[in-house]
This record gives sequence, C-alpha cells and structure tokens, in this order.
Amino acid sequence: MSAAPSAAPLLQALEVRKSFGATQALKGVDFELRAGEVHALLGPNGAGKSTLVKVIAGALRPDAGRLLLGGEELGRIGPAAAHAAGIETMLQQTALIPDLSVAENIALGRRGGRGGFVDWRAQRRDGAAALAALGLDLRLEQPVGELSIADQRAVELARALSRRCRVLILDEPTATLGAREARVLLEQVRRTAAEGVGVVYVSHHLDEVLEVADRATVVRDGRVVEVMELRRDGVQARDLVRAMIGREVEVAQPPALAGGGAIALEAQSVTVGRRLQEVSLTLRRGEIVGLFGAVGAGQSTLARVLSGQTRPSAGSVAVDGRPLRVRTPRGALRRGVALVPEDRLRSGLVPAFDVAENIQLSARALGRGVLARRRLPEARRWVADLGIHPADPTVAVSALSGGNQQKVVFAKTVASGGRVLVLEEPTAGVDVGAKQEIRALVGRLAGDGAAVAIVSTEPEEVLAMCHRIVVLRKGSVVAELPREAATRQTLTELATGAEAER
Amino acid sequence: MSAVDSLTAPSAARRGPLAALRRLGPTGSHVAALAVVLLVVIVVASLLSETFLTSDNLLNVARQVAVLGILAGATTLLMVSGGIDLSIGACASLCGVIAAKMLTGGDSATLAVLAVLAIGMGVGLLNGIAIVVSNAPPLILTLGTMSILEGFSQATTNAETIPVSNFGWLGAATLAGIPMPAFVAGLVLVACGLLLRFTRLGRDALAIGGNEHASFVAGIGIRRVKVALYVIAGGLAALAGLVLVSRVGAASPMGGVGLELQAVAAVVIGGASLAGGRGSVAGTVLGVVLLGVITNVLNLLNVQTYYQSVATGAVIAIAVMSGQAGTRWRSDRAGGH
Repeated sequence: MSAAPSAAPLLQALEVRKSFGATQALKGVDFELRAGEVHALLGPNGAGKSTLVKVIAGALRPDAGRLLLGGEELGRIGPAAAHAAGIETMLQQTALIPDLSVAENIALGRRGGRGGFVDWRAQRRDGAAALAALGLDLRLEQPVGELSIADQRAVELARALSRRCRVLILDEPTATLGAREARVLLEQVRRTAAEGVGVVYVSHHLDEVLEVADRATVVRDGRVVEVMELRRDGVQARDLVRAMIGREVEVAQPPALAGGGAIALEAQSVTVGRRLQEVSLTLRRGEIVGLFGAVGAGQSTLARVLSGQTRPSAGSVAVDGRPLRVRTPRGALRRGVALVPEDRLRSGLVPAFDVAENIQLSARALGRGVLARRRLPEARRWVADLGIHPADPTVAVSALSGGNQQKVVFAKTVASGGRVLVLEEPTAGVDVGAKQEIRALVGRLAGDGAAVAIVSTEPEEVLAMCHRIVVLRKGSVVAELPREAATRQTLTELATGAEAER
Repeated sequence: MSAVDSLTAPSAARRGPLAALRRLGPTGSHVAALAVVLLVVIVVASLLSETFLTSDNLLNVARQVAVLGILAGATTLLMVSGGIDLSIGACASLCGVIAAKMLTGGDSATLAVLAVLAIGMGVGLLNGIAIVVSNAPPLILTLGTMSILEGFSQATTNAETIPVSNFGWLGAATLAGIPMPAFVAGLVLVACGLLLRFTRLGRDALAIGGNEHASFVAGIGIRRVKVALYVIAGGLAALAGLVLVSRVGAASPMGGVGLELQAVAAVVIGGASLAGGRGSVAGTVLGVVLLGVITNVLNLLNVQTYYQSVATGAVIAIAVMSGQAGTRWRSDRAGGH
C-alpha cells in the first residue's frame, strides 16, 4: 500500500508542557512522527489531544519542551511560520473557496507567476500533478463549490501535497462524510503518506484509525500512556479503547424494552419537498428507535420536522394522539418534543453563558415569570449525573471539551421536560467514556418512559442503543428491522442500496 | 446596579490578582480596565483645570450626560441581543417636539408625557415587528426609520424650535441636590442593569446575542424578545426626548440628531460587541461618563468645538481598538485542551 515508513523521526516533540490558567493540559508529552507514516493521536475528550495538535501545528507555543522538525528546532509559531516549515492542518470543515476552480484552490496562498500576474499554465501543471498523485479524476477548471464534500476534502489533500507539505495534520477529516466517502478519503490519506508526508490523524473513529494508521499515540490526562505499533502488533479496537480509558469497556447493549408502551409520536406520510417522501414512523414510550441513513438520506430532515424547525409540505405528525402543528422548536418543546441538535456549537450552546445557564436555557424558555432564576443545586445535580468535567456549573461552557459540551446540550434537552427525545448524532465527536455515559443516560430515560429517536449516519450508533432501526435512502424508508436482525453490514447495504444493485 | 453584569458567575476556586481579573470574565475585566482609564482621565482633568473637581461642575456633567445615558441604556439592551436602533435619536427629537406642541397647546404635562411615551414605544414596536418579520438587518432598517422620524419632526415644526415654559421639573430641577436628569438616567440605567442580570427578558437577550440559532432551538421566543427590546428602546428614546426638552426649555426638531451614534460609541467603549452576546450596563455607564468628562474638560479649557470632535473621535477609536486587542489576548490564553 505505502512505501515503508522511514525510521528516522520527521517531527519530534520533547517533554512538551502547556498550561491554561490552573489547568495543565500537557504534562510533559513526547511525540514522534516519521516521514511516510500515518500516526493516529488518540485519547478521551479533554485528554490534551487538541492542545498537542496545536503545538505540533505551530499554533500554540508550549510553556516548556522542544519541537524539532527534521532535526531542527521550530522557533516561530503562527500559521505563516508553520506553512514555511511545511506543516499543514486540515480542519473538520473544509477551508476552500467555493467560487474558485480546483486548480486555483490548489494554488491558493502560494506565490507564483511574475509581476503580479498569475501563471495559469504552471498552476494547471501543479494542480494536475497533485491530483494525479492522489489518483483523483477531477476537472481542474470546475468551481470547488460544485464538488461533493468528499471531493472537496480530496482537493484539500491535493493542495497540501502541492505545497510540498512535510507534516499533515488531519482533525476528524471524515466528520462530514458518509461511510463510503470516508473509505475513499482514507485511501487518499494513505496515498498522501506514500508521497513521504508524515500524517497526524486525530479521530474518534477507531475502525478508521485501524484501517489507515501505522502507529498510534494514546494521550490521557495530559500524558502519553502508550505508543502502539498498530500493524506490526495486530492491535484491535478493544486494545485502543483500553489504552484510552484505562479499563475494559463492554459493548453497549440497548436496555430491555418494557414492551407495549403507549404510542407517543406518530408520523404519517410526512413529505418535505423532494428531501423526504411519505415517511411514516411510530414511536412508543420506552422505545429507542434509530433513524439511519447516509448523509442526506432524509433522516435529518425528519428530525427537523419532528422538532418544529421545518413544516412538512404534506403528511401529519401527532404527539400523544393530538396533531402537532408547530413552526418553531418552542412549539415542539411545549408539546414535549425535545431535540439534541447535531451541530452543538451552532445549534446547541450559548458559548458565553456558563454551564448552569446553558443547562437551564430550554426549561427557562418554557417557564413563566419575569425573573430568570438560577437553580444552581439543580445544575450541580446534572453536572454530577452526567459526569461533566470540570464538575463546576459556573465555568463558561466554551471552556469545556467537546464531549463535555455535548453532555451539557443533553442536560439542557432533558431538563426541558421533553418526553419525546430526538437525538441527532448524540455521541459524535465524543470519547469512549463519555459515549458510555451518554448511552447509559439514554437507556435510563427510555426506561423511565421517554420515547427516543436516534438520528445517525453511524451504524455503530444505532446498533449500540436502539430497539428498532428504520433505514432511509433518498428520502424514503427502505427498511425497518429489529436490532437483533441488524448488523453493520446489513445496515450499510440497505442505506447505500448496495444490496439492490447486486 | 450590580457591580458587573458579566455573563458568567465567578467561580470561587482561583486566587491572585490575575486570576481575579480572569474571574471577572471578558466583560468584567474590560469594565475594570475602563474604570482605571476613567480615573486617570479624571486625575489629569483636575490637574489641568481648577474648576473641574468642583461639585457645581460635576453636577453639571451629570446633567449633561443624562440624555445620552438614557439612550445608551436602551442601546445596551439592544446591542447585547445583536440588535441596534439608529432611530432613537430622531425618535427623541420627534417625541420632544410633539410634547412641546401639546404643552404649548394647553394639554397637561401628565397627558403629554404619557402620550409621548406611548408614541415612542409605538415607534419601537414598528421597528421591532419590521425587523423580525422581514429579517432585515436592524442597522439599515432603523437608518430608514431615523430618516422618516426626522422628516416628521421637521414637518411638525416647520423646522423651527418651539420654546416651552412650565416644563422644567424633569430637566432643570434638582432632587436632594442631584439634577433631575441625572436622577432619571441613573434610575433607567439601574433598571437596565437589573433587567440584563436578573430577568428572563434580559438573559434571553444575551442568549440571542450569544448564539441566535441555539436560542431558537432551545425554545426561546426569539421574535417576541426582540420586539420587546425595541419597544423598550422606543420608550426610553421618548423619555430622553422629554428630559432634553425640559432641560433646554425648548424643543428642536434636530435636538436628538447624532445622539444615537454617541450612544453606540458609549456602549462599545463600555465593552459591548456589535455582534451581540457581550456587554454590560456598568461598562456603558463608564463609557457615557468618560465621553461626558472629556467634553466637559475640553469646554473648561476653551478648546474649540471642532477639536473637541477630533478628541472624542480619537477616544472612541482607541477604546474600540484596545478592546479588540484585549479580546485577542484573552482568547490566546484560553485555548482548548
């Protein structure tokens, strides 16, 4: 697959320390990256991963320790210095200019040509070379905005290659991709490494890590706990999990279904333009139902309808037997339908507020009276219940790690008193430990009689939690199966239509 | 008013002066820095002019900044929610003019005050409804309203100033030695501070300014909150217009022109962000006083008005730039994990 990674370190971080106020994010971390390898960086939320990535990327200056690139000390920090040194970072969202062509995007930020003119020919030549190295078949003059997200990611990889990048940092690069697109991207990541680039790969998807990475450094609590040779030692997912959280974790099982709960929500022939066509769905109290499909298959649109953000163009939704006709989330919440949105930063949190006020946002919005009461003891209970770290409801929510922020969004939704819960990708971007805690909470809520819909593009997510799984493809329900009958394989086949095509 | 309306309550765990500053949060540390700047300006002013630190002069400053203070209170409420109302200056002029017409026409002061407050709130209601229904940017929409209201003021008065007698109690009188306008402005600002800190309306305003979409998803009635804020702003603009007429003893159709921009300046100096989500009444008070003190000192030193304008402009520019630099410094230090 790839050229054998050379043993000499390309990038070395030695005894790196970094503190933010009283918090020690990195307590003396060593990290080594070889040219031509894909090196996964793993650890629970808040372990110090992001800080280490920022230090390696030259975006943060460590308090102590050294950073060597090709044996030379990296002195200056900042994006310009990092570029000059050949360090590229690819973030979760694409950083391309949609109106510019593929070739222009690949050439972006690089000086070329003479006297202020663009050397179009050189631009096309470099662009074509970069695309060829990744085995990409894209038109150079096509505006990037017209490409699929997967192709856009690939263009970013091509850009990094054409910049003669030596170190490439990927932070959850498949976060916005479906399963099949993700596999293609992983292959391109391997090709990138084969060109001699050292790739740092940050992801919560352990299966991806096992597929793409040669080695893994596991960080926990600001320290490196293990450096693993994934291929040589035949490491498996459970080994990674054990290293990340320091103990064995059993695979989650959905709670036993009480059975025969009353119908809480019934959707009949719901249609939204061309995005959702005649979808019907029944949710019973105590039941956890998965709405599974590839990106854009319609499950998010259905979630938007149920949570009052989109009105169906045809069809009806009833809650507790009464029709639900609402045009805002406020209306849906009043009827007890609460949402954990997919994009927690955009839709879930008010970053400037503290944890307590975020938790109480929905409940307060639905309440009465003039005064905004701060119920600190209640907030403390949520913080303790969900194991939110730090265990202080008066810290700003923006200071929390992603997984802990997700728990705050959860607490807010549940505290609103909703009895029908719509959860969009509830454990996305959350570490293994937090995943377990969130899943346990969902199980408890269902056990207490809540009806839960879990919207996801991840087979693992619905398999781990749901009693029943509804599969959508191209806006329609293509299958509905009990969990016992569902496997990763069947779900993926149903969602992609692979079975039908065979 | 509460000392600092920072968005996050302090956590008790950390100690030391730097930690104390951080504990205040971004808004709080800005207010603390601004207080220091104001103190320095006051010391310099008292060195430059002997009359500055006399009670007569200070009461005079208080009387002069009152109208601006009321409008800045309104602007603070709007700005933390991500809104803005450029028509409040013109609304103040119009309300003053209408009150003057009613008073000279023989109506009672009570009737005039109530009528004008209703008109101001009505204007705010229209602004608010237009903004939430059309989703138009408030900056531009209220720029339009401003022009409309100015036109009405000019038309009502034929562009002439209307002298008003027997209406000095709100502007010219004193209460327990404090000029009535300062008293009114103080009440208004305390009320705004309490509103932002302790009421659902105030917290919802901050939430909307901090993340409108998340507030929407959380079930906050975004539209009604916004409309309520514009209604309050309109009412306060009317109040400011009344105080102005009463203080001057005459109503000019251009009396409030430009005050809305001074109010925005004071609020931004006070640490609020035009994008919303950040700001405090304490900061606004300091911003208003700083602008008032600087104007007053330049007057005492007989500096020409043209140069006063230059000086005030420079203060605004420097305040905004240093506020931005402070934000960057803090976000550098905050970082992730």
